[in-house]
Amino acid sequence: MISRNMDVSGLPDHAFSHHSLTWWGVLGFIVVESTFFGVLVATYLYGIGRAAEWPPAGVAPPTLLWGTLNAGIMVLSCWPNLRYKRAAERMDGPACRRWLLVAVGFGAAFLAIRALEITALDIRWDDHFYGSIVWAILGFHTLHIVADFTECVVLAFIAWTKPLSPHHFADFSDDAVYWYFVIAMWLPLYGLIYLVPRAL
Amino acid sequence: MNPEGPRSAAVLPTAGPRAADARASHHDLDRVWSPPEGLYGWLTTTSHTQIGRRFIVTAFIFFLLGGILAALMRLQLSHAESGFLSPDRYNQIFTMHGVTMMFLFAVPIMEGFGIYLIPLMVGTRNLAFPRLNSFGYFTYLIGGILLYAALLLDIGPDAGWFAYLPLAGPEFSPGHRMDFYAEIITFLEISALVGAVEIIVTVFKLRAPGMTLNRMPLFVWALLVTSFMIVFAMPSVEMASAYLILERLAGTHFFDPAAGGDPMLWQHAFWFFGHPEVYIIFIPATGMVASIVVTFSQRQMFGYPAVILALITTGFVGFGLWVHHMFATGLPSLGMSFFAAASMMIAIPSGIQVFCWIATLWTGRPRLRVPLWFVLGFVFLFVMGGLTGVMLGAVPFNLQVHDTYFVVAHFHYVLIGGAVFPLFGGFYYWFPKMTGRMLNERLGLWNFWLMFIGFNVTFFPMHELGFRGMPRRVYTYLESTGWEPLNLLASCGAAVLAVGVLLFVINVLWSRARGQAAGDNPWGADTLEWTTTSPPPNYNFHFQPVVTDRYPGWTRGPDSPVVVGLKDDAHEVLVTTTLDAVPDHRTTFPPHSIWPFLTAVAVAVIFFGLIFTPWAIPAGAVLAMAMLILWFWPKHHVLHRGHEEDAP
Repeated sequence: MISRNMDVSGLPDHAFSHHSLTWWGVLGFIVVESTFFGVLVATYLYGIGRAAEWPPAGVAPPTLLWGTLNAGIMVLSCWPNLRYKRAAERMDGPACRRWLLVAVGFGAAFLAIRALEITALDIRWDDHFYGSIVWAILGFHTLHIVADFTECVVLAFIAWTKPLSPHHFADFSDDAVYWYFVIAMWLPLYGLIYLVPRAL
Repeated sequence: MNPEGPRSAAVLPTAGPRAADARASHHDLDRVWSPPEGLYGWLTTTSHTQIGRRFIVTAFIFFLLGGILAALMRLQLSHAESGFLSPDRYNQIFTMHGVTMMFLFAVPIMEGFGIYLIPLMVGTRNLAFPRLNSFGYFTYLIGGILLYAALLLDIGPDAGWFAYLPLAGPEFSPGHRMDFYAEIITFLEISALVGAVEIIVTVFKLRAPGMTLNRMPLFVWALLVTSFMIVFAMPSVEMASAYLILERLAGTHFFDPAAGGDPMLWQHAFWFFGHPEVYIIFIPATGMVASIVVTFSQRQMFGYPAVILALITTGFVGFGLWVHHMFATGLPSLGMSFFAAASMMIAIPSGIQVFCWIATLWTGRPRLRVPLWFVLGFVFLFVMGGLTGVMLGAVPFNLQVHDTYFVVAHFHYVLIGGAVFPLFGGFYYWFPKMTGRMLNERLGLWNFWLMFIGFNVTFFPMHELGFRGMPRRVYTYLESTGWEPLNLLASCGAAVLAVGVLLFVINVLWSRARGQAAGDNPWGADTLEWTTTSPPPNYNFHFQPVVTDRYPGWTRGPDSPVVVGLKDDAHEVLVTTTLDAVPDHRTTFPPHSIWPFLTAVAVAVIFFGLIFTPWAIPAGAVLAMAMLILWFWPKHHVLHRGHEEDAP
């Protein structure tokens, strides 16, 4: 048999999107966290299934204003997020620096509005099951915003202070994927917390 | 079909391996891939062989500790109205026995074997995300130590390993015992989840060129299915235990019927994890069985595609069984019928696997060595456990024996028969690869027969005890029940079983120092890990192999094709495409690091602190975030080097 060795020295030493290991890792954690959200959603629906009234008598569903505003801004932020991801993939350093700042700005806006959203709740987590699950869902999603916001701040700091390599750009691109996830998760949760009790 | 095709154009056939020899240097590879020495090296290593071995050894120590707890219970139950253990102590012991065997032994040891073996089996240099691997080990180790510290301080969890509400809630379990349970379970499962993601990505993206999905060893398939099950099952128990934390710490009402909650919610969330958990333990064991059966019958696996389909089917159906743990809770009968049917259906894929193993052995030339003895023992015991499982799947029968020793007998046949026996077979099988020395065959046979006989003498009488109405989780019984003789018999069997395990420990300690030298492939096995030295070097393979068929251990020779052109002086590995394993790009793994360890400590601070105060969340989160930032902070020289070489 004639041996045919494979010389791989000519292959690139970085990759984007589904070529890269990090992308698969991020996807893995997105699936894990989606399952967490799935359990939260199942808990909420389980509560509806058992309750005679949902929300319990004398409790109003959360006011629409802040949650809806946040959902709207999140959907809007998909556009700069897409620009950010594309800039990363064509390894455009100046554009990435700019779009990272925009991403930090949006993250800050999500958090600020979320703070208003939570302070506007007229229920506590220790009032009843309904209060517990609404707080748990909001809290768990907020945790994701805080985590990705922090990541963005750190990435922005690196982007503005250090020379950028292809590995940085791959990180930026994966960061953008994670923002999509955080946003995409909010839409069904928003529907669940704000719209479902009104439709019941 | 290869959607990522154009890149493979960069791969060129070159001269033979001798020319390649000149280009690679063992010395450089060894320098780059060897972890640092000493304690610092221990805390910072990212080597999958080191971390995998560590998972296996740690989990085995927990197995011995869980076994000691079991022995204490058998002593207590060996005669009626014994005063050896107080009821309070007994509750902690049976709870910790279950928690240890499920959370600290079974899952980590299977993942440990995966972490050790998978990069070798798919022909790469390390596991994907090596630092995460280090982090996963330390979360596991710290979690386990904290639980045992609690037990020794008399604050061990005491409401059963499944911690049913309302017993485990704030009203009926005041104090910190169940806080330890809720916090540590939530914390520990992080380790299982990161391990699963690492394994999935390694299997999908780091396979040697040519190892298409339909050439993957069955053990790798088994761990892949297991890892997917972990990804979808573990979040359920983590969320449930997070609810339990909140219930106990912040006064939420998830499980409190007076405020709209429901204790049944716990059972659903727990068993949605708890039943797949059985398969998370069992499926890797079947992967071990397949490896051993193929090697010791010296023929190809009979029905390779059928076995893979059976593994995947088990993975799916395993999620449709959880309610069969809850037949006695008064659920609607239509739901119960569905879950009863699913519980019986899962016998089909398991049966297919058993038939394929038997057909492989039947048509091969079986060599009866110790690993194969353990596999034969497994087939016998697992079929027994499977039969009682089908019996328990029938609702009317289930109600009769609910919460009796019949159930205890059933799940020990399934778990010890179905997972511990293959695992011991796996130990005997892969020990030569891990250490370079063979385990002693004669001691191994004694080990097997004592365990097999001891096991049956311990657990077979429990079926009968269950029929006679002996309930689980009681610390003693009256003489007039007539349960004493069978309990004494079971306790004697446990002693024999313990001697069998002791022989194993002696065998390992003795053979590590004086066992016969193993050589690269002592069993004549078919998978890639046997084509490198025993133990493997830190970089696994001098050259990554190029795979051309399903049984490279049998077909590869000195002139077989290899991958050349990877850097020897960097942690460089080849990334290939998901389906066809076509070379895609090179990537550089991060070097060893202290931050994963410190991050694990920081996360442990959060969960340990939460036992006492909610303020642990903000304080610990800041700490953990800081550690993570330092973990991922780019090291300029590494990136700079990568950057230079990017220029076309």
